Amino acid sequence: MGPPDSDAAIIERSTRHPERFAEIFDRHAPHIQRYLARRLGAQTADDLVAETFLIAFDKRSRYQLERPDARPWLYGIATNLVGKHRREEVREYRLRNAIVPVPDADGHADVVAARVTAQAMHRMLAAALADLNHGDRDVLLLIAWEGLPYEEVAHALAIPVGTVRSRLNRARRLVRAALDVKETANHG
Amino acid sequence: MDDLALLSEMADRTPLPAAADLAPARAKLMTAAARPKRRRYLVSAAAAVGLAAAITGVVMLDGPPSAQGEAVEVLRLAADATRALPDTPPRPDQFVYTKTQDGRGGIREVWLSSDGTRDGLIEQGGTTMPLPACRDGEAPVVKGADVVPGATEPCDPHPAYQPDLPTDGAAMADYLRARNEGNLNSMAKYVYGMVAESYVRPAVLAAVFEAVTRIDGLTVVEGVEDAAGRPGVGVRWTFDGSTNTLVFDKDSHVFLGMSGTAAVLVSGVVDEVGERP
Repeated sequence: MGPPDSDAAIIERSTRHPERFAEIFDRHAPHIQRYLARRLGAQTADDLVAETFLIAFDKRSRYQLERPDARPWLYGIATNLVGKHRREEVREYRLRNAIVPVPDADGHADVVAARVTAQAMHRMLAAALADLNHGDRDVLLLIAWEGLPYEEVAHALAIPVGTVRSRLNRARRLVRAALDVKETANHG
Repeated sequence: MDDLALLSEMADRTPLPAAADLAPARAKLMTAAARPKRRRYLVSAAAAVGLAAAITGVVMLDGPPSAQGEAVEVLRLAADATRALPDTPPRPDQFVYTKTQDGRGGIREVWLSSDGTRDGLIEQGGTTMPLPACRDGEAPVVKGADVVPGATEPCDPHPAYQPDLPTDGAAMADYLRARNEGNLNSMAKYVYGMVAESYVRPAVLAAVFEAVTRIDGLTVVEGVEDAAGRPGVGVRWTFDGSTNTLVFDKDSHVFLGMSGTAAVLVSGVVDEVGERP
């Protein structure tokens, strides 16, 4: 089960002392909220981070105690909830897509140009994310945004590691293609 | 720029939240964790808060919200449809039976004593849990699914039927305000505790919908469904960062449930625990 202060040990104790589960919240809620905010916007994230931990609390007796770190498990629960808000997620990306940057008034011309280009890239990226299928998007974002290793993504999403690899490859290929095509179009 | 570097730049724009931003979520968790005994899982309003938040009962599909006037109209239709329903309150010695399905398909059946003085029962996921009655302020202690022999603890009776609730909108609004620190907008959880797995007279439920018309900032949401997948129209408001939605059948206007709660499949009055209507 790992050291006595591991997540697994705390979860195990929380089956008899439910209030101990607060420690799991304090350790991981900031990262889970940020992940949800990245995918759904801050407002929805505040609601869903509460839901993530209530579901985790309800399921704590089934936690696999051989896994000392609970964060991948929590990412899995949060990702499931994101799946129920898919339309909002796509809307969130489209919204970012629509934001037009306002350059600093005293910005040097080159700096402004660089910033606008970066903004344009981000808009294209957001559009590309919105177009991915959700399984590919889950894998890509858990890796690229949250920094989870393949094995933890596999555990979080309950899929084989091989599937993580193939989804990541497909997602990256599609995102790169979306960025390339638009870049070419801009220059042409 | 590399796609992964670009993604990581995008991610960097979202900061970690401050502890204060997480305080409401933490409070919800602690409410659930403080739920004292399983037998109070549903009967007390405080416990219901945790349950309501724990279950994704109503899935929001989509649709642009519209104005207060339209929401009030939906509520009035619902109140009228509800008042037309038959009213057969249980006798004190009877039981209120409720069968619900949560957002994950879990089925729960509950028998609750009408006046709170008789032993009830919960059947859920293959487990049977006793609900010993509260008599003279004391109830047997339940651990998990078992009664602890000889042990009792202080309790408040939880009748499944309250005969004396207000039956018109204005009186209900006063009643709810008085129990929600004067704020009608904050009453969603209180209402849930009042209607969940209870017998609520149609006139009382109609009065709740009429009271809701007095809440500020109502919107109508089309295309919602309850935990059992039944489609409906929602009336929504936000209080203290939480979104509350009442869901009504699109055609008959009858009440289907609240967001975040289990869908009621069957409810009725029976004479004995274990009997179904």
